[in-house]
Amino acid sequence: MRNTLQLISIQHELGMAVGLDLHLEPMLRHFTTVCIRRLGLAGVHFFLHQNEAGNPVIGPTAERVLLRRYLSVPDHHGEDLFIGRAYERLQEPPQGHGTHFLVSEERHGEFFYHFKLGDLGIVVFRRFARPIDESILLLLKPILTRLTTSCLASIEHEQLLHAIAARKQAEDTVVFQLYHDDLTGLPNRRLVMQRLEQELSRSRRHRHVGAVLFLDLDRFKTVNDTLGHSVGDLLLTTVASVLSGLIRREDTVGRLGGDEFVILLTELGDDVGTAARNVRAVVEKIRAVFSRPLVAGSHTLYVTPSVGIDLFPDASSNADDILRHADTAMYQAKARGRNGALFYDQKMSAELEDRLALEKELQDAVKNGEFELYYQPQYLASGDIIGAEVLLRWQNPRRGMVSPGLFIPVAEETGMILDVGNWMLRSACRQLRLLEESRLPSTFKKLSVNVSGIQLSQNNFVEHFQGIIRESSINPTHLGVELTESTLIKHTDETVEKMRALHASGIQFAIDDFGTGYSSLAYISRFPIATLKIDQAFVRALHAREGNRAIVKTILALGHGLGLSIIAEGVETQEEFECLLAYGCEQFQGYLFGRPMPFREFQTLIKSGDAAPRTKKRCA
Amino acid sequence: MDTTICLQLCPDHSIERLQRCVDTVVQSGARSLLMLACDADQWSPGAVNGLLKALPFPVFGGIFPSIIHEGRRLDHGTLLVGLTEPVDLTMVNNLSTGEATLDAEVRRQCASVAKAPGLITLVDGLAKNIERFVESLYSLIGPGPDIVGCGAGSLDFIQKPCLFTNDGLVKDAGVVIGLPFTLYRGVQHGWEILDGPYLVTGSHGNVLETLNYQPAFDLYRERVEASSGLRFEEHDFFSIAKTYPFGIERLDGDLLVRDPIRVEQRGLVCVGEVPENAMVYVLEGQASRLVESAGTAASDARASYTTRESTGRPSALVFDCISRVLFLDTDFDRELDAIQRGLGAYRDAFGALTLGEITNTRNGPINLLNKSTVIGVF
Repeated sequence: MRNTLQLISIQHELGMAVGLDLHLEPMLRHFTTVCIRRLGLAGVHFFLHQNEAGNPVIGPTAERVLLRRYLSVPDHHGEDLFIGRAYERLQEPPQGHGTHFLVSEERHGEFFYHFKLGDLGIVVFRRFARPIDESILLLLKPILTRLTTSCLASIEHEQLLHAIAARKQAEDTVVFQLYHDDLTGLPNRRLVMQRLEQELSRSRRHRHVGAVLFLDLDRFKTVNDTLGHSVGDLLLTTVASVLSGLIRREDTVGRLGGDEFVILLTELGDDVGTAARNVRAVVEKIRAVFSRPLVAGSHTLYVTPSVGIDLFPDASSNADDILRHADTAMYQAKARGRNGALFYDQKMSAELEDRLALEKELQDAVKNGEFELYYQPQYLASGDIIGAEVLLRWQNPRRGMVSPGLFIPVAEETGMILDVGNWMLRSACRQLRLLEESRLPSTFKKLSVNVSGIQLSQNNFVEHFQGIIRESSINPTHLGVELTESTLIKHTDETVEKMRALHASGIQFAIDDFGTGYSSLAYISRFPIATLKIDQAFVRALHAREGNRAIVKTILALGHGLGLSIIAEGVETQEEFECLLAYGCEQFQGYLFGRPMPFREFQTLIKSGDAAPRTKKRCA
Repeated sequence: MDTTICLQLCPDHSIERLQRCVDTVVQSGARSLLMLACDADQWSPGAVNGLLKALPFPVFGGIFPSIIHEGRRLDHGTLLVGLTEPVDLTMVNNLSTGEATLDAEVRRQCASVAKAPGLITLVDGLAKNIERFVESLYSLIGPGPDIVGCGAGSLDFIQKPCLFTNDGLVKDAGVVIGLPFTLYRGVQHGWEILDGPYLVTGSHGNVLETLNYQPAFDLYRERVEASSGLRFEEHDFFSIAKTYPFGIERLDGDLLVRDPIRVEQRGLVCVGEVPENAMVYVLEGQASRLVESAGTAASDARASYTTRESTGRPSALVFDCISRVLFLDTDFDRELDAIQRGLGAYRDAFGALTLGEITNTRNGPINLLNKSTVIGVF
């Protein structure tokens, strides 16, 4: 009676433990717990055929399948469970009843029972002290057969769930990609516009004011050009993360493409004044985070954004208009000096249209030959001419004479500076050749041409430059190149190599606007520089401004100490000249000596050998 | 190797005096502390948390109905045992409410003790899911190390903070202490089969609903009243039932004792789970047999120790079920004498009278026991 009840008890308890759960791991874990408790086992270990991803498999499959540990209770502590040998024996042809199902073995007072789970694998029961009674082992066969069936059903069920989940994930991915930017994961233009349209309707309904901030990173192209697109991408990802950290849950940060980001701010207030104050607070936050360096991979970079802002709703604007207005305001902010933020007003559209027209006319100017070179002579204190700075002038049929301060930044931003610079260099060389063919004064040293950082960064800059010199047959020592401080600071070892190559050809380099940038001794000594040009900002009213006098004295002392020649530009008054002279400056350029003049006039000046005025008054 | 360095008994409920005892233990050079306190002293978190949190080494222990010191039972006082080595103290909180995450939580919190050569575990004896907790613990540590433990708490069966830890006095938790040395266990209960076996045809957790398809209480009452000559209608349920626990039969013949403590809708509420389809017996106790079994538990632990350890003067930690006191009454002193005799020339036993005992079976798994004597020698 006792044994019979014990068998019934075990059969019921283990049978119920198989359960109906269609999740394999919890089902086996529960069965295992009950087996350990009811059969007095030290452990239960399941080894199932699994694919490389660790998922149990059933039936033939193209995948590589291994018999691997699936579940152990307790955790596997490194003990030998004789799996390989037992598995081989379970595969052998039956020599008697039941040998296909169970292999048992005793080792050092421990008992191991390996049961075959159909084609799924095996389960090992480990027991100490005493073997499991034969009647109970026989009892286990139908229970484990049922467990095997449950396992099959669970695996099929889980495979189906995996397939459904994979499909759902694929669908989610497609939907996500449709509305989000691949690189940053931010909402893309499509989603931003959807949200803007929704927000526009809501703000009209509830009389709230919202705003769109259009952000463009200043000089992002330089990062891509100098450090590569991978660093540029990392920077964009960092910027996305930084911007996302600035906004409220209900706001949106999106990326439209390139380095263009949009922030959609909602419910900023009931009136435009309140909304504008709240927007300014956000802009301050943006400025604060961009005032610190951003990490892009192994690089730490300082970048700034230009921000254009448009508030909504107004009477007639739709979402496209609002985004375009914010874009226009950003454009104006950038044009005014970068790292700025501007609210859109209607005048901006007109300015933008004017700017676009200027770009178009600039393109035509190169083709139509609207540019002309002017020459501003340079003198020694003695009044002897030593050369000139070559300046570009644009005579536009509609606008008349266009200021270089207006069109050079546009040419640089659009890349047209390459064509313009190329034309300028060729023309200057051709005209220098004409000067050389007539007789140059004995004091003549060189014509100086301005070269932009963009030209310098071109891979073939040196070859191109040398080619023009060869074609024009000029004496290269009669040609100088002026670079700004900021151009030198931003460029790299490659720049040094290029300058050295041209210097070896006889070209002399001057630093333009010296004193306005970093004025670093380090880079002066690093680059092959012959001349410093004192910026006209320091020359202006030199005799009356103590600060300017100190700077000029320092530049002169520095330049002389390094054996550099120094020329002051923008000398317009007798007092300025006398001061400079008193401090030891020996070369001069400015209206006091001569205004920029067309080539023919300059040619005549050279031929005449006229001297400039001079004085001997003392500086205070 | 001596594993305890200092025993201090704080005889009353005085935080100043307890602090002085603790200071003595600290000054003795102890590197961890076991605290066993009596429920009657009514320690509260407000009184002891400052002291516990300020301790420079691990502290563990609990509050029990009674404690054992120098081989005697005490109903007042707090025993401080300074250990010569630092222990690894881990804790799982929210035993009663965290069933779904208990296994993962045990793995997360107790991973560091998985390879300890010896273990002690103390649980809030009135928490739910203690069996899930010890099963998860076994799943983590396996059959290697010996473990002894018990349930702390009060005989008023109101759950309250009862475990001493460095976080303070806590409740509803399980503490697992990894010892840096091996611990040797002995376990016995001495209860014998009166009637059965019966098939558990209906149960839910620790509520035994039906036996052989009959209401559990009906069948139990019939057998127990016939044996005892007492009638449940005329007595408090537990005053009779304390003599007649259930025993769940294991495949190796061992009986896992389950104490029925009250009747609920003709079912019996037990201390610990009674699984459906298990085979159970009604057990009965004889005082002499229980006393003898406690001595056997002590001598088993001692024998295990002397087989493997050749030096040192080991300590003996005793967790004896409080219901054995209720059953043995004045004979309980004989049980303590038997334990001391079983331990031989070792140090005097110290320990507690507990709400449930915990240790490994001979096959490895860890069980929550009732009405048993568990002794750990280390």
